[in-house]
Amino acid sequence: MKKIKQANALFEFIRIIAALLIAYAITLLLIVLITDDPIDAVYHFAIGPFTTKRRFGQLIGKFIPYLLTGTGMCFVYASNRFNLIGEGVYSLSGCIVAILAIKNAGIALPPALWIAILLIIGTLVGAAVGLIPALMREKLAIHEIVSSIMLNFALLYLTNYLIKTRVADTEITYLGSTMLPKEVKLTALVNGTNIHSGLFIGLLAVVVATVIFYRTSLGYHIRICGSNQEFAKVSGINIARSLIIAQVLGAAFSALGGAVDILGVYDRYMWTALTQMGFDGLLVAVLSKKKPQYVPLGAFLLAYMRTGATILNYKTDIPLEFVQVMQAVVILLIAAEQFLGKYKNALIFRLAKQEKGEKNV
Amino acid sequence: MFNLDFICSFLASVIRVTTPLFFVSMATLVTRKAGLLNMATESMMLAAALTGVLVSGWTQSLLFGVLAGIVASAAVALIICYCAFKLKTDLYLTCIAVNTALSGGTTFAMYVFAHDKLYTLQVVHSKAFGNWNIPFIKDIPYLSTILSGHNILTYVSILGVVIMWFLIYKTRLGLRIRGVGENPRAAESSGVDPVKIYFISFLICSVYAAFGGMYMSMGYLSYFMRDMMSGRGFIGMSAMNVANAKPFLSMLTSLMFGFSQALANLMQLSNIPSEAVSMLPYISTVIILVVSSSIRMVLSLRKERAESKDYYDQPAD
Amino acid sequence: MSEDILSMEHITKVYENGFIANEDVSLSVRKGEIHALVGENGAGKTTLMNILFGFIPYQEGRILINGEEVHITGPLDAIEKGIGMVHQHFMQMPSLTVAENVVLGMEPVRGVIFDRQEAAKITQEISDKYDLKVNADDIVADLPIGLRQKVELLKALVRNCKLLILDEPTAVLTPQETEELFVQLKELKKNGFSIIFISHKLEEVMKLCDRVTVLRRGRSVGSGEIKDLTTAELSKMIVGRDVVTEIEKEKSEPKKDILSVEGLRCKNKDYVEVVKGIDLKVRAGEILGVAGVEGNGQVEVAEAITGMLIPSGGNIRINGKNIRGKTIKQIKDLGLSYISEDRLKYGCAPLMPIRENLMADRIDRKEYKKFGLFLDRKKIDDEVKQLIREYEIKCDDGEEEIRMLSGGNIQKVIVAREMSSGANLIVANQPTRGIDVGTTDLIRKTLIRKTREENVGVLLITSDLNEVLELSDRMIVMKDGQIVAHFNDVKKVSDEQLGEYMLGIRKMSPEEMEGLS
Repeated sequence: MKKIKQANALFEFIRIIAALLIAYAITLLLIVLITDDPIDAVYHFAIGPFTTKRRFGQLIGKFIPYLLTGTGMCFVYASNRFNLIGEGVYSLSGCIVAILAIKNAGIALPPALWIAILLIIGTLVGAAVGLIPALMREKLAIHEIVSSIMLNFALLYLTNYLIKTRVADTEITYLGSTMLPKEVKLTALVNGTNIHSGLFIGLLAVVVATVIFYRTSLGYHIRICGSNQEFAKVSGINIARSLIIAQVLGAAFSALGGAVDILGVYDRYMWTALTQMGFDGLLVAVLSKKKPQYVPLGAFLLAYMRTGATILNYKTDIPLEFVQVMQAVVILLIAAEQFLGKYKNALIFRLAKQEKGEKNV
Repeated sequence: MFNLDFICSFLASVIRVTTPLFFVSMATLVTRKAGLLNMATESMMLAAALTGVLVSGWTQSLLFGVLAGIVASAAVALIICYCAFKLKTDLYLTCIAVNTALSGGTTFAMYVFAHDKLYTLQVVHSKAFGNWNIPFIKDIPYLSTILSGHNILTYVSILGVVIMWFLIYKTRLGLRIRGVGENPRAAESSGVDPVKIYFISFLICSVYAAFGGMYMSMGYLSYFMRDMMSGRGFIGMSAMNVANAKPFLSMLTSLMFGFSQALANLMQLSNIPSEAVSMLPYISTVIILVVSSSIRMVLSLRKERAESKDYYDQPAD
Repeated sequence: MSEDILSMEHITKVYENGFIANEDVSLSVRKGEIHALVGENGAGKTTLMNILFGFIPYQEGRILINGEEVHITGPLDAIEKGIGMVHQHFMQMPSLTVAENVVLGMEPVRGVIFDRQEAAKITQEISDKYDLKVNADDIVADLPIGLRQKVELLKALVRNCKLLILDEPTAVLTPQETEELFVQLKELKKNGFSIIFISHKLEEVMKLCDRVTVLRRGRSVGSGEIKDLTTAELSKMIVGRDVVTEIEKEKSEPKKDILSVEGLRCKNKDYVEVVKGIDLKVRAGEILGVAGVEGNGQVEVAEAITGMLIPSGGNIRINGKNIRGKTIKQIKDLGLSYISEDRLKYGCAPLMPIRENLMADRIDRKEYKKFGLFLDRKKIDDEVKQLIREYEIKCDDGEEEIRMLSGGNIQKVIVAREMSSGANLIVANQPTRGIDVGTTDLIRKTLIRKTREENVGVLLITSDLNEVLELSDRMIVMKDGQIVAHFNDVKKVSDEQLGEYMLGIRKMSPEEMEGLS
């Protein structure tokens, strides 16, 4: 059996690599088709993120929120739900935190404490909103994709409304808040880059999530519910409770991501369109195979792809959005059971026969 | 303000904004009858809306635009089917991924072909569907305001509901779709290939979704706008689900959802900030879903409870 | 001597987890014969038939129909080649009519419109022709089981299939219905049809069939003319050992009641009453066997006791506590363990490691926690290792995903969990179905040891007569949702006697069932 197990593991690995390669190939094709200087474009996209300190900082700046939304989506995806509310609460949390910070500028609290309070408030707001689609799904059997996407739109307009009526900056031509006060900014770890102390929060979140997953009974329950709900029921696990908590935790981590991102990277709140964070988190969760300990890898990969796309966007005439197509291809192929399935089955057949032969000898 | 004229024109606007929902609810209905929920109708709509605008703009032919739109939408359907039924990716995950791909992909394509990331307005002058005045009715006061003079696709959408009803309940294909939806393995053992039926129902779905999308970009508006479906795919599906996948009932529930959209549009004219008003259709969708599901839950719980009445009504020991 | 309509040669099928379901299996069926395919559950009969019907691919071997090699790509293809299958679990759309079910896939049309009248006519004609009386316009969901099976047969006949596969068709039928079916099958044989009859009921095979092929643990171990074989010879081929292997067990010394069931009534999902007022009790230190043809309410009794199904009446007490209104978790905490018959659906989470599967029901207990919050990894791993050793689970370690194990080892994981949960009532539903001999032995011995040494009470539901006769201290027989017999001394029960009760030919009076509750 050992060989068969190894063959299965090997194929999992090959599939991820192959999926990434195919996604890159499709992207290259797109780039080659529309640009006059494809070599330059590919260079910017593939190597760009590592060429300067600033760009690598950008990459890490994206990596931090992906750590948080990715771990959040691990909870959701591991419980076999496709709740995308992480996207809505990401901006809601960022918005609430920004408003509180601006309205209370110069507050007489130690900055570290004030930042901590803001992050906690953001997280709690996210968790509270995250409860809505979770309850709708587990108590009323309303599909979580529909409810979470409807709520995401509502939250998008709600945040725009709050920014416009509370803290809008009338000096700028687009909708955005006034500048965030200095004291709430997360400390930069490397000056002149987006690498900020939120990195520690992100990594800590990965550790916390891993502990919850494997070192608490809640984690066991969530994973078992996500893997086989009927079995969870017979085992006496409170399914509704476990799944609601998983989805609320997912929203909370994502909301923390939004708050950290606002205080770490931005000078003002300006997320007036959908952030795609729900989907990005899902991609990270798929890449890390629902295992929070692998989230840093998935998050880094996504941050790298996104940074490359951004660089490409301002260096050439290629719009950023192609990267969404690329992400989708990666998800589709990695999650595809039958992708390369033929080869896998043939190999397993050979191994099983071989093993049987060895036994008989 | 609230005189009869006003009410009539409001009702007309309800029909105007419900038209895409008619299309989408029928699009999702056919896949649900086959036993699947299609969460990616928005992608199909986006693909058709953009392609329709671009092709009709280039060829200056509405017909070519429409055909291209349908082809684009069907291509999205084929991608979904291939991933979900051949490569065996989870259908929901597939739909979510395709939605993101198409949201980015259409923006990308719009930039490449129309050199703008927000609207196609400046560059492409596409053809649009015209309006139609219904003979006789157009001469009846008030009624004509409500029913006549809508975009031709509005009438197509209503015809589409009838066609869908006929397809599902009267034709051989409809019987097969219902059979597969109820028990795919049984259908397979009767020689009906479920995967083929899934492909067909997704393709039919994509045609309806294509018209829904093209109504948005070549009827309701006359240009393509980034992410212009803004949740209509899901609202239409909710309408179908609330109506329990009954074609004509889905029309009524679609009107209910359309009503809140029209109300929101109306309130844009008032002093309330537009951002707050824009939430209305989404919030009301959530509320309608909660209410209808609660009623369904309570009824089924009550039935279960009634079946076990003797068991529960004994004295405790 | 007529030529072969079908021959399957050297078929090999390996599942994704490396489980070899069929190895070098050969089967040949002649024109106009009823050919029995027999073997224990899990011997590979269903796999072989699913291959023949094109549901699953196979890796090696070839299939010949009328002497020509064919590649069957799917059920549609199989039907075109004249193969029809009546599945054990009916392949029907309950909300559609009989006619719609029968003609699906070959519907008569006028233009694009489905022609209802024509469909009904076709169905009625074929039903009259082969004397399988059904009403074409009835909704299938409203029909009794026997009629639903006829619908299945009609589906194959209307497609002009000359080779019919019947997968355990009698498992769900009453004796009368079985008799009727046999008459109809013999009639079909006369009309030139060939039939593959899958069963593990030897008396039926002896009575109905012309030839037989025996499968054992994925291999074909022999075939021959029925008239040349005795029941004993045949059963020896099937099990590969003498049928009556007495498991040694001390006499039980039952103590207090652990489970008591009074006047239990249950309805199934379709609100049909399937358990019609039964009383029973299980005492500490004994095994109460529940025999019966499958589908006579046994599963519902088990589900009611475990809290998965809310009864429509009666009372269930575990260790003296009524389970009414309690959650599954609370019921388990009263001292209940449950081994389900569907092990991949209710018994485990196939994609998860052995460790999680062993710990699923107890992970929130205090003993596994440090500081009241975090799990004590070492303690858990120690316990997992110990269970793997104790129950001889063949695996690399507790990290291995359970789907990678063989069926027997999966069941060992489930049994290990349920036997070690500390419960004093074990409800075991078909605990050894489709399991290899070694594991079966281990499970049976463990059940006996638990009752003798640890004062556990066992409710054993099984359709395996060997098992129920060998293990039970007391035994009941269920038929149509009622208890029709109760034996205080199982040793005195003969197979024939048991058969009569199971088939509803005889029924005990309440006085005869002394000591039942």
